[in-house]
Amino acid sequence: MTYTSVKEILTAIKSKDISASELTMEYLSKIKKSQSDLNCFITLTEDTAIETAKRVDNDISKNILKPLSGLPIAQKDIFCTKDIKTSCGSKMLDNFISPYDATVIEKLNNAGTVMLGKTNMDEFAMGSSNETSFYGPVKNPWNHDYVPGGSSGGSASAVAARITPCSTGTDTGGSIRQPASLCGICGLKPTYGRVSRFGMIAFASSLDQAGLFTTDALDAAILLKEISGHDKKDSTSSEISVPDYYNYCINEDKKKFTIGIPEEFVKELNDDVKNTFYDAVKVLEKIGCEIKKISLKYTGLGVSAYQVVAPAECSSNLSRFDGVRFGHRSQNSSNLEELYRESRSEGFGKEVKRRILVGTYALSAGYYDAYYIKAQKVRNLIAQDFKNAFKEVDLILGPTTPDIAFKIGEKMNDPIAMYLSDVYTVSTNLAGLPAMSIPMGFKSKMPLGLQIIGNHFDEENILKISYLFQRETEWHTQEPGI
Amino acid sequence: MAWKDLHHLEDIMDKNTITKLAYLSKLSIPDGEIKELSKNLENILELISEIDAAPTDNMDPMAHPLDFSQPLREDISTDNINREKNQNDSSKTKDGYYIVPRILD
Repeated sequence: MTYTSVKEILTAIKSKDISASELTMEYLSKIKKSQSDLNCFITLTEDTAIETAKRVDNDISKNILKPLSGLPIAQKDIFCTKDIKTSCGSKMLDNFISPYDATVIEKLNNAGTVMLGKTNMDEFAMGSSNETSFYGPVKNPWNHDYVPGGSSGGSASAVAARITPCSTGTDTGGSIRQPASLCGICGLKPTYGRVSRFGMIAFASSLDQAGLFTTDALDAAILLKEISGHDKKDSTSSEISVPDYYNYCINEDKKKFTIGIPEEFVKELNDDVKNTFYDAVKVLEKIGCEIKKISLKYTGLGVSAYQVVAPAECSSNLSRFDGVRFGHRSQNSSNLEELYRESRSEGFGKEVKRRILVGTYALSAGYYDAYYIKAQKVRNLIAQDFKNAFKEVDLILGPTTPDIAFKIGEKMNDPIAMYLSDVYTVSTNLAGLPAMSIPMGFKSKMPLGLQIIGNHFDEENILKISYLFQRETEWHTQEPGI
Repeated sequence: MAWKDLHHLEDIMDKNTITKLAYLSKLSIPDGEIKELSKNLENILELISEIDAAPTDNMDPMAHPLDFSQPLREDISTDNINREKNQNDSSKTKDGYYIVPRILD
């Protein structure tokens, strides 16, 4: 039996139409069939999944039901999973078995989910195409010659291909929203601090945020409630209470929003993307939203500021990989200095090394003020831009990406072109805002995403407008023929 | 190269600068990769230089997106700190210690 949403699956399990074990076997079979074509997974956790599903079925037979009992889920391989390999897409951690669970994993396990496996990703989440993975590129299920986006490419491709009903991702500069857009699904990046980062391998700590991939907005609402909340193990996680996102979405009370469209997000779009975007805007007008033109004049500097802040934090965070305590250890060293250098040189890929070098440069004596401090001031300018905009509007709207997915190999030798594919997503990370990409149409049979940005901790209205848009459209129900 | 020279970087991403950066980053870059890397890094610095003209005179640097205060917690060990289990991820340990190459002759 085919279920089209998380909600349907939870209802089917609750009413015993299907057992967690049957459902798990069905998805594991789909994953295995697709793996050689799509390469979505790094590790398939088949035995653990079957064992967990049996435990859920046993609980259900005793009428013990948790919020997500029996829901199959794929976890991005950036989240530490106890006693299971956690590679972060890198040769550096190819041998790493985590001794503990990330808080996101712990919360989802406690809520009753069944983990199917760990998904492929750009190495240490550094990439926008999933091509920097040590485990090979993931394919876009809409056309296997194209990238799925990144860094959470495996998680996005797997949901789009319907080989898992949902998955987790992380977003430092667009790594959930960009692949969601390129794969034609929903990708939610919550507010910085909404979800704990404990056990999520750090790339750029002031930008990283965990989030979700689903096929529709209501599913994201259901899951977000379960992964959100303060965590004593992450001092940057917020103590603001977690609302019931699902009930807020389906409540008929508030339907009219003032939505801002920044001129900077649309002025350079090609005609196809622009037309698709304005068709989506018309849908929102039809349901009663007021559309306002706004300006976010410093967001154009987002990629430049990001390319200082993120590598600077990355060069610091990745200094922990020394070949001694965990991770790859070089066999070609005769002293400690060589052990560090050779372990890191053999363990890290090209893009990761490039970012470490840029970050080291930006943090060096003589350059710290000119690059790092300057970029942090620009970050503040961008955050102020958003703050002012949210005095006038409830939500901000734009395309998630400048265009559809690009071909595998097309941008691999041009880092700047790759970085610019995140031009509409990075500024929200710099400001710490929540944002979501939902499908808004197609160009050349490839999907395009609509980005909805909200004020801090206003995931409720992002999800609600997405749900209202999806009540009027069918883009999110389109499936690729994998 | 003297230690102090390694910490003095130049504006140009030439072989000399890349060698120094690689040293500071504990990475080795093969000679054959320097030309391409130099071009990549020059392009990245050009992209970054777009922030130079931004009017930031009255702006404070923003290190963090939210205005949090740093919470304190009780100094109590948790079950996450399990030396034996954590050391399973190292290929060389002995009696609870990590083994590294000899540092002093």
